[in-house]
Amino acid sequence: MTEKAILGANIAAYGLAIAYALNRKTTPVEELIALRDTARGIVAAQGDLIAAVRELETEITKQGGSKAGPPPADERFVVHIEGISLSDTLKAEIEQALHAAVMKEVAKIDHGGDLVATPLSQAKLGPSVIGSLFPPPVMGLVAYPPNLR
Amino acid sequence: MADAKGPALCPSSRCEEGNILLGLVNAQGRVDFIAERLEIDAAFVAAAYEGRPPEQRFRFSSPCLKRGCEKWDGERCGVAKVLHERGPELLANEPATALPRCSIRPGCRWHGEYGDSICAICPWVITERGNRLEALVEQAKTET
Repeated sequence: MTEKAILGANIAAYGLAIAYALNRKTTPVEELIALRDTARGIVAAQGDLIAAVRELETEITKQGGSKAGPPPADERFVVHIEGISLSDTLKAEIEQALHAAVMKEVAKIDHGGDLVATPLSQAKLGPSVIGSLFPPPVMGLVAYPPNLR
Repeated sequence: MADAKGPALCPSSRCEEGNILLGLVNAQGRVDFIAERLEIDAAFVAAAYEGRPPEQRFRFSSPCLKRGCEKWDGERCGVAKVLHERGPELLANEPATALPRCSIRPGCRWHGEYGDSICAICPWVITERGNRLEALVEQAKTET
């Protein structure tokens, strides 16, 4: 535990060292290169830290070690390309394509949760709001055809 | 109630281009909300309609139509009214949870009418419930 805490502190301190070097303006390029290479090494050594934290949370909860509920999920998709330089236009296009690809996959998600019985689904709230299975009740916006408004 | 930019937003709307994707129905029958406002485009709508009706799997938001919607009771949203009146009693045995992170709360029709109390009930709302029998038939069709 102590070792991990010290490691974390070192990384934070290293970030500060980089910020200080950048702000100083007179920092020689050799020093900047050394800072960059060390920082790259630190980042590469972390692996997929986000996934690791998620797994730790799961395990801690499983063992009853956490009183608080799990934090809200926060998914992140990263493509790391090292060694090539891309124009801002191309980067924006890639970003847009990534977003579209993710959304297309999201659109396919079907957990079947609407078929699960919940306190609201089992309540007799009237056929026009909720409760009956056939026809399926609709909770929310139902637009009349324009000629009936 | 409404956003400074526009009319009040219905939090249980249809899957149509330009609407906001509010959240996803999880396996427990509750909605996991998306924290940031996410507008859906034609590609999302097309992909979503390839599966079961998207209103059974997601929650969407769009401007409230008021009297253009059959749920409007003349003065307010009829759905929100029923949820406000019956929700607390129906969910009395459910553990209290923090308010979900929601991308439309400041402009939400339901929140505007009933405040934070309706946000505790909102995750239980599924716009359109599927029919288990129909789902099993569909599943059998795809498996054969």
